[in-house]
Amino acid sequence: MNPYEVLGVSDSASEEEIKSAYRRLVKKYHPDRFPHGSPEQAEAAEKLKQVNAAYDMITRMKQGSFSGEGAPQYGEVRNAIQRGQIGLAETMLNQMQDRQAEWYYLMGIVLLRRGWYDGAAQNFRTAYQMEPGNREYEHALRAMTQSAGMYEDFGDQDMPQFDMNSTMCRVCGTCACMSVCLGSNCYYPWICCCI
Amino acid sequence: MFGYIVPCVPELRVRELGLFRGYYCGLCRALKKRYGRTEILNYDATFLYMVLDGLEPQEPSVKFVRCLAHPFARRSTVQGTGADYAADVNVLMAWAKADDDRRDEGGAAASVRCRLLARPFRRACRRVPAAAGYLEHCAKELAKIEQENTDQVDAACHPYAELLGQVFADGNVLRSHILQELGYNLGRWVYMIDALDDMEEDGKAGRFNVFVNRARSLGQTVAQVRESARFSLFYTLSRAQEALGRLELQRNRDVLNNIIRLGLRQQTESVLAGQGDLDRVHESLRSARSL
Repeated sequence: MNPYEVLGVSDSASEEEIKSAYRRLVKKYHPDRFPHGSPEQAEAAEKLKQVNAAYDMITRMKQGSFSGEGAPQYGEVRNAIQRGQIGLAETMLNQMQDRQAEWYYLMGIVLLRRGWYDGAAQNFRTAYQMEPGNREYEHALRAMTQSAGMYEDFGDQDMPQFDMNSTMCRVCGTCACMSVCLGSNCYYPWICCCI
Repeated sequence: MFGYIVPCVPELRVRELGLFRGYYCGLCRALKKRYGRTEILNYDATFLYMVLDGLEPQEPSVKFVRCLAHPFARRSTVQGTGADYAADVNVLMAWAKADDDRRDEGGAAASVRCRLLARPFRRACRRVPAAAGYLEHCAKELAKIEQENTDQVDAACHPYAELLGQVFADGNVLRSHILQELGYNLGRWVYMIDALDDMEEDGKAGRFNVFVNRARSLGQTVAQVRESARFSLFYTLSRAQEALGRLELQRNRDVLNNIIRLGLRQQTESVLAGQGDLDRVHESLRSARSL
C-alpha cells in the first residue's frame, strides 16, 4: 500500500496538506453517513480503515520511526521494493539517518529500477566497500559489470557460449587432424584438454 | 539529439537493408501524406516505426512508388500500422530540435526553421496530445536541469529518457512496460551520447552540458570523462537489448538487433574515441545501395 496514494496526495505533500486530506476522507467515509447495516456502510468502513492505516504510516514515517536501529526497517524497504513500490522505498530510505552498507545497497536497487545506472553502480560500490565480504552486494555490482561487458564483447551474437563452443570445436577439429598427420604431436594441448 | 539510432550497414543482409529502407521510405510517405513535409524525416522515428510495426500481427503492405527525391528508380515503401504515429512523433521531435536550436543559437535561420514547423507541430499536438504533453513536460524538466547546472548524469538524462519511454509505450498491458523500458534506455543513451559528442563545442560556447560540468568538478579532461562514461553507456545499451529481446516481435527482429547491438555500439565507440561524426554516418547510410 502506498499511503500517499490512499490519501490522494503527492509524495512531497506538506504536513498540512496530508492532514486536511486525511480529515476530508474521514468525513467522507464516516459510517454514520450511511444507512445502518447497508453494503455502502461496510464498504465505507473498509475504506476508512485503509485511510487510517495510511495516515498512521505517514505520520510514523515523518516522525522518523523508520530510521535508526538496524534491521527491521531495512526489511520494510525490501518488502516495498519487492512489491514494486519504488517511490515508497525511496521515501523510507531518505528518512533513515543511520546509513549502513545495506542502506547503500537498497538505494542502489531503487536507482537501478528507476534507470539511474550511474548512481546505482556508485551505491553498490559504496555498500561493497563498507562490507567487503558481502555476497549480495558483490553480486549486484558484478551483475551490472557483466551485463555491460557482455554487451561490449558479445552483443552481436545471440548466445555467446554456443558460439564460443563452435569456434572451439573447429579449432579442436583442426588440432585433431594435425595430431593425426604429425603423429600425435599436438599443437594445442590446452584445447585438447578441454574435450 | 537526433539521428543517432542507425543500423550498422556493412553488417546488414541485403534484404535487411532493403527492409530498413522500405520502412524509411514508408515513414517518409506517411509524413508527406499527413503533413506535406518530408525534410524532417529522421532515423529515430524509423526505428520506432519498425518496432511498432514488428509487434503487429498483421503483415504490412508494400507499395512501389516514385517520388521527387528519387525520380528514376521506384522505391518500395512499407505501409504498416505504426507509420502514422511514428510520423506524428517525428514532427514533434523535429519541432523540439528546431525550438532548442532557436533558443541555443538564436539567429535568423533557426527561427525561420522553427516557424516553418509551427503548423505541422500544432497539427501533431492535436493528433497525439499525450506525446505532446510528455514533450512539453520534458522541455520544462530539461530547462530546470539546465538552470541548476548539475553535474549528475542520471538526473540530466532522466527527462529525455522518460520522454522516449512514454513515446514508445503503447498502452497494451502485455508489452507496454517493455516498450517503456526500451524507450527509456534508448533515450538515456541518446542523451548521453549527444552530450558526450558535443563536449568540446558546448564547453567553448558556454552552453549547458552535464559532462562538461562533470569534467570541471572532477578536474578531468574531456577524454577522461568520455572514457569513464563507457560503463554507463554499455550498461544502458545492454538493458535496451534485453528489453528488445523480451518483445514478441513478428518481424524486423534482425534489423532491430543490428541497430541496437551493432549500430549503437559503433556510434558509442566512435564518440568515445572523440571521432563522432553523425553527418558521415548518415551519408554512408544514404549512399548504401541495395541491389
